[in-house]
Amino acid sequence: MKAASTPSHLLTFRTQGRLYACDLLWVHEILRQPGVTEVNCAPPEVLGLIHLRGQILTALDLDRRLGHPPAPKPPSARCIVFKTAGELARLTTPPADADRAGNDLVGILVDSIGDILTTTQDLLPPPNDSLSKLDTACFAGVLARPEGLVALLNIGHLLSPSALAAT
Amino acid sequence: MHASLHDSSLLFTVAGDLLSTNVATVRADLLTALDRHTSATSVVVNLSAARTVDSQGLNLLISLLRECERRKLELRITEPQSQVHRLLSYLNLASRFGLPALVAS
Amino acid sequence: MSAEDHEMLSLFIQEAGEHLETLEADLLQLENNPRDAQRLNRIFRAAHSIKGTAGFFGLTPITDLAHVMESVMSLVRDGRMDATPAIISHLLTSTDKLKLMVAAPDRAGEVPTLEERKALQALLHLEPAPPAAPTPPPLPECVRRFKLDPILVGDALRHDQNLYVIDLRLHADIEAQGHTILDYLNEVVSLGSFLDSVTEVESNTGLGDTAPADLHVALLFSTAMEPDLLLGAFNLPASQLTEVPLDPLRDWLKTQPTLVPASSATASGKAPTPVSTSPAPAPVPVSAPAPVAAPAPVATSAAVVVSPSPSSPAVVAPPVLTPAAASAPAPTIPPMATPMPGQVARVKPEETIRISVNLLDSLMNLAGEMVLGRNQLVRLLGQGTKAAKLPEGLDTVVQSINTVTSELQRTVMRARLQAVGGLFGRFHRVLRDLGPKLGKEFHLETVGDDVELDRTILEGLSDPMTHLVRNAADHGIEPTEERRRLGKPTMGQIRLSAAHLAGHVQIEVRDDGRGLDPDRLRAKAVEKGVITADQAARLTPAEARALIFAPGFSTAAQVTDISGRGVGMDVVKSNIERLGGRVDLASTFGQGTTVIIRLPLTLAIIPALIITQGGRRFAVPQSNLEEIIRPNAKRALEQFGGATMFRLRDELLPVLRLGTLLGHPASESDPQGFLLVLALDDRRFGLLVDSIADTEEIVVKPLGRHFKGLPFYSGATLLGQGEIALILDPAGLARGRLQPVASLPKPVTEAKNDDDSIERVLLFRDGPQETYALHLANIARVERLRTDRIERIGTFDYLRQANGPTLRLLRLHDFLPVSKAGPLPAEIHVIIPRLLHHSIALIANQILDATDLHTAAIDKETVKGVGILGTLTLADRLTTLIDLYGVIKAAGLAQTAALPANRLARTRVLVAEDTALFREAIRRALEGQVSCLDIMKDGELAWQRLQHETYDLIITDIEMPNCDGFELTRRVRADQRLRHIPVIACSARSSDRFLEKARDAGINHYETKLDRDRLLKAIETVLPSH
Repeated sequence: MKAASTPSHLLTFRTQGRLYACDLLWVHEILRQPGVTEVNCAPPEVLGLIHLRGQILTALDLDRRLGHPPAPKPPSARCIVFKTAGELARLTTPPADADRAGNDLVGILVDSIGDILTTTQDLLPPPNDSLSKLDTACFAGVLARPEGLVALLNIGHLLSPSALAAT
Repeated sequence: MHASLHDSSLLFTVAGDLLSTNVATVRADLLTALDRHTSATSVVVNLSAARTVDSQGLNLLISLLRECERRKLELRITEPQSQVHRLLSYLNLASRFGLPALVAS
Repeated sequence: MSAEDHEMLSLFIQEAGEHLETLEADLLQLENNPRDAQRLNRIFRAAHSIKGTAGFFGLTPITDLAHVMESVMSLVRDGRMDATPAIISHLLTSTDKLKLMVAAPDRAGEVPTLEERKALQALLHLEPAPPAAPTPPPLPECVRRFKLDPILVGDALRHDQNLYVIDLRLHADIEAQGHTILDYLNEVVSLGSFLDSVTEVESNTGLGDTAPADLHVALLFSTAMEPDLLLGAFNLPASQLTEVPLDPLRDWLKTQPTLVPASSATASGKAPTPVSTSPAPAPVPVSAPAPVAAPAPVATSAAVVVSPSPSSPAVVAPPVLTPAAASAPAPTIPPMATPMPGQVARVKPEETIRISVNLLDSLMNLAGEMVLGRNQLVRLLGQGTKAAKLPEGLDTVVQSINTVTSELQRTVMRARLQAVGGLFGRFHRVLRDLGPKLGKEFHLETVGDDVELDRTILEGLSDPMTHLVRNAADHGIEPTEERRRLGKPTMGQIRLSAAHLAGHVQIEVRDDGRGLDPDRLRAKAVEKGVITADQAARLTPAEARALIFAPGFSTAAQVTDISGRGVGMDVVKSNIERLGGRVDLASTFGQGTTVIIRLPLTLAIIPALIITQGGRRFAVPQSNLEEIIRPNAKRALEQFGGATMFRLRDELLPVLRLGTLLGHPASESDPQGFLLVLALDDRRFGLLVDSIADTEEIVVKPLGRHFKGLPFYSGATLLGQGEIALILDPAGLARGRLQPVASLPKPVTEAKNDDDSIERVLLFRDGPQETYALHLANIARVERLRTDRIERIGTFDYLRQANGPTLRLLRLHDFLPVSKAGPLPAEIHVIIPRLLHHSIALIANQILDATDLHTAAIDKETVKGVGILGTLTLADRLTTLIDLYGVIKAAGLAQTAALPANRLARTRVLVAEDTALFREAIRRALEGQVSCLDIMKDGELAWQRLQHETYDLIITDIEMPNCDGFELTRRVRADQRLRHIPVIACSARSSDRFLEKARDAGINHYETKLDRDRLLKAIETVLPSH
């Protein structure tokens, strides 16, 4: 995958010790202690549904979605809720991948939220081989940071139903 | 009641209701202030703290009106509570105190 | 304010808004051509109209400004003044102010209009004074100290009121009696109209006076009350109440220079009266704008709105959308699968507004959540009343919130409706293109283009309809040559129709092609392994045709690209079912096929049964639910091979366990639980669940993209505490899991060629004598309740529901020719029908059973009557089959009450009125009172109508574009055939000059707009007595 350009504002977060980031423009809000209602027979990456002020959003498990083995979520877990296509359309410069956005509300559950980075740092292309088991289309690139390598995610792709998982 | 002078405007801030029980005091205070601040050209009465004005209170306000006419001073009431404003409207006094007439429903 | 007033006010806002748009445009154009008579007239009428309608609501700030604009325009129009750029500027800024006020009428008083009014009035004063009137008669002494407002005085006189002067000493007469001044004056004001007051200040010498005398106030007051009543009300000695002689006032009125139109009566019949406060006298009263200190529902500034009951307009947001009319079928409409970018297709562009689809969806969501909140509120209130100690008036408030919420929900739903014609229209092009490709010719007919469906349903219909139409074109219609040989028209006829039927929309795709061959279908099914040869032989023709819906079934030699990607009829069926609808087939081999799609009217809120499974709650749509059974030792689940079954009367019902389907750990030995009998299009099955709770109205929220492949769920909903419950999709649960079973009941509506069909009915009794049957399909649910829950109001009985509208309870013996059932026992059942428009329920004191009947056995002759479909013998009992709609009609709910038996009832009335608001008001005033009411938008149209219809009475507005009221009346009077017809004119103007003109034209009676009672009285007066 060719290296994309780094968005100027990033939200970082962590799951199972791995560091990730996403374009802040994608983020709608962050929920703490989200109560997730399980849905039987749903695809594996779907943790369930969350009630948010009268709307129902789909909660995905980040690890499962990417192809990592899942792990239980700690109490500090947060849900990052992303913008819908309609909300993105209202931005003057929508983020990359916005064309894949849908009209339904989707969020991902992560272990913890990190800092917001403002950076002009160059993006390194994601290493292909070591991530072969994973849904590589979800990765836009890698940032080398003092705290470790941060994987920048293609949210548009991430939120789309995974092609890997069998329905 | 509190009186203060701003430029040439004498501001009276009434501390509470204007009733038969306190009009005498207020009247005395008004007179004193008027006599002291002879440079004033206009008078503003802030009624925001007055929930009720009875007939004596009304009489006092009219006295002040007449007094200001005598002394050639402009007179205005500001921030009346709605029921006081309405009362003044009913009595066709609102405009004389620089207030617009109000809806009464 | 009543719901009607709300509607009227929003009509006003809409209308006035339109007038203001054209007004501005006309004013701008006027600068180029200041003498354009037509334009001048239009501008005048716009101001006049706004003034009239605003006056109707007592919106004095608007009326005042519009009035002065109208006066200026009157002079300009009559040529007495030129429309200079300066004048046009003033009028334009005035129009701007009007726009602000009309946008939020309740706060109209906050808009400063003093400058504009002063400027326009100054123009009026430039007008040469009218010829000096004879010295005006002196005003009565008692009123001379007051400022008389001709409008108010005129109004009071016209309404036959008395004028009084009340002299008050504030302390002695009010406070000494134990009242506060404000309370006292409020009460006085509520008894009539406050015209003016004078407070005596001259005797006060200033602050030096330490003991000022009691304040004297004189009030000028108009009221219908008599003096002695007033004295009693005010507790005054007679010496302080002076009745004002009215004749001198009438004389005085006549001399007033400016044409003062009477302000229209408000809904309560009392005139809004501005209190004149400006020190400078003005011939036209100027009301100074006033900021309202505390937000009050009435905000007509400087106006003392006087009425015993508040008639003030409440805040009404201007309507966002009006329902869509059919858009002309255009072959180039893009596929509806992608949501249309917020456009509502309309016939009349000036009545619409564009709104984004997202905003609409937000509205839908919010409205839905409000319904939930309302339901909870009502429920809590129900609990609360038992605990007592609720604030007074709380349940009235809740009731009004209840009403408003329902109305809001209904209105927002309507906003999502789109006409099906848009979808249908696409197929003209599709078929035109398909024709050459297939070597065939097609003719497409569409019926019911105006039928409206929820947007999401229309989107969901797009794919299935495309498949059905292409199917009809490809497989149904024969090639042209073959058709000619068969004697069929060369063009294949394809007909798409949509119609509203009871509670649902029915869409049909009909072709006159080959039709379905049951034998071929049977053979194919066996070949494909869908059924065995044995089963195939036992299928009825209808069942054989229904095989086409079986998964993986296709009779086409090859799945052609034209019929669409190998999508079979089973996918069409599941798509329709996912929308909450059903699909049926009717076909005659050799003659054609009709596919019948039935869809619910709205998608978003459905009644559903809440159940629990595995500790979690789910919702099952009521529309699929036929029965609930509690299996026990006597009626148990049985195992047949690997399948679980339940014997339901003479049917073997396949049973699915919800727990197993969901993957919950099974507890096989547990026969407890509840069995839900769910109906799909052509079969039924039982669903075993742990427990059931209430039926509720739930808001359907769609599931996101990740759930698209899941057949079990059709959506999710939020229950009371915000808990998420998934909505089960019975068709999805059953798919692929049910074996076709031989003896299944046939679908409720059968193919046209079969004479007999089986229908499921509920048997019940009311009283020992009569047994009734009602189609199960008509029944939403049955409830049992104690008779003491019934509330009686007048002669009607009502049942209040915790979540749902209040139901009117009907006893069948009141409406049908059946024997009386006797008083009600302590506990009864109520049968709640599935009806959208009527909140009723039937009382039954005993529910017998649900059973099947053969339609052929219904006797339609022996017993007849409204509400009776027929009788038949069921289980040795004579049973009456109920026609629910007949019962509704018999209960008088379906139409307006019988016409009053008086002269009015025999009168045919023609109305000419160009203002929509007043047309509506007249319609409401007269509908149901007269035998015929035709309302025309203009004098010219009314005149044309008079040429071919007879009328006993004409009611006309004066100011109308093409032919005004005077002209219309003149024509009527000049026509031999028509000249005898009495004419009542309604107008906001009422000067003497007008009255004369009216008399000259031949108008019998002149009425101001718009007082219903006065109008009715006027009609009675002018109608010839016989």
